[in-house]
Amino acid sequence: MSFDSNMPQRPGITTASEACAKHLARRRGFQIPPRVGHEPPFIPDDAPDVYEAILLGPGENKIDVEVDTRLPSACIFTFHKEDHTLGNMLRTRLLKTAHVIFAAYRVPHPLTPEFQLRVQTDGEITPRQAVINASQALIKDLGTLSREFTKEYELRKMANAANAQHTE
Amino acid sequence: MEFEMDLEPTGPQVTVREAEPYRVDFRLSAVDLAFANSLRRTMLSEVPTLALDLIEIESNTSVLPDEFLAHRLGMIPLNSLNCDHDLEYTRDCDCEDHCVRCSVTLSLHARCGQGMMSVYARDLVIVGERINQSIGDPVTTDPEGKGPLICKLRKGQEIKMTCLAKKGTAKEHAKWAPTAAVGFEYDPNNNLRHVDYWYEQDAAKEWPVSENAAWEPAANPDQPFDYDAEPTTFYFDVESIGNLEPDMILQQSIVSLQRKLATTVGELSGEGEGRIGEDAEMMGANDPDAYEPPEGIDGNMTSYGSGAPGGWNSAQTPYGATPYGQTSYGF
Repeated sequence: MSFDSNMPQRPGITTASEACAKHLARRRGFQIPPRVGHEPPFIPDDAPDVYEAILLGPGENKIDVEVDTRLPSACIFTFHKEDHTLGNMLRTRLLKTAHVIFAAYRVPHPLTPEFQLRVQTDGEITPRQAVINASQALIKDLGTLSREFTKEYELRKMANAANAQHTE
Repeated sequence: MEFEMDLEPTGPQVTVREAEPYRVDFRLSAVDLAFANSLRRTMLSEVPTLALDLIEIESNTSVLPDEFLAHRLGMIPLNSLNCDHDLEYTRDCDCEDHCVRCSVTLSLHARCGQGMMSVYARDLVIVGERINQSIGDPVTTDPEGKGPLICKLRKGQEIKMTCLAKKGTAKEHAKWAPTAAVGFEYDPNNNLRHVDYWYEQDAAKEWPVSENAAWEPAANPDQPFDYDAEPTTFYFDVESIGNLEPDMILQQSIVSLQRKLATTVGELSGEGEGRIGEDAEMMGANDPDAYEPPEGIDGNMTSYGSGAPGGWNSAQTPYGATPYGQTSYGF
């Protein structure tokens, strides 16, 4: 018998040992009395698979781009399987990016793992390019952060080691 | 646009205040709230680690039902050294069911002969090959090195099971979380008035300030309130469960954020034909927002840089090297 340790046992499925016992009993010619009483009620499992919130579905794009025709140089980007982590970060950086005159994001519903990012530019660059620029600037900043942290962490560890020696 | 770029002339700044085996406390400055919060969110939920995911029970005569044991086993922290780099997700792996590149197999067998027996995480034994020397080892932080208690057995009771550890993230299930907690604070003196304190007589007397308040000055009450001020300094306290080193948790979260952003860049620049050349022209050297390769690749580096092989600063981002980087940890 095996259990997916974070998955509830599905109802209505006979356990392996139960099936074996029934099989043996039939071979030996026993009548198996039908189960009486505590037949577990069939509960359909409506819970969506955990993966559905993380992995892209078949044929699903990571980002759908829709041109907002109501205004010039405006686009709505729908990011699938992403949340505030990316949305808020991108939005804030877009507001600091050159030529962007509007940037906002929303999560249409908390149960759908997607967010919409609406970007409008002054026409010098496309909204698409603005998002690319913002992402690249963020990637660069994260790289700086990684280096700065490593440097500082090593220094702190060295200082700790020196202090420990000193106190001994 | 110059004024916008002047806000962050040098990028994020870090001061590591405390570094302990299972904890790192640091101050992050010259970033915005969204950046710091995204970092916090990824550390909590998107750093891949290893946890027991599939339990094959051969024999269980203990008082705990199989599901109960399987759930308990899932929660046991396992060493996840270089998990992101070395191990594949089982769903992405080329193998039939599972293999050494996407899983670690552990076995647990205990039988009680006399009296009462406690089964601890240390009783989990690695079976067969594994991808590096310590991945999958149960984390033991107690002085006796026992690890968490799995169950207790009485005379004659036995448990025997094979457990499959897989890579995953806390977004899927909390058992894959690398952090016990991430402390996060900004503006300890409430200069920005993001907090509206409830008080009886005097808020300043009734609400003690946190220790972080010593790291930045309180606003002068005589000065007028600055409505445009934004938080730029953040105090993080990352507590590791023990499966990953605390600095690794941060580095990993940076990598996973960079990967997300690189995917965005890849998706958006891959689709629009004809647009790319046009934009590339427009994005010439005079545009401060244009992507520049990370320092260390273009040689524009401090003494820590210039990509010494295997050094702690090779400065590759997943974007800088290959978009979906089988690269270093970004440091």
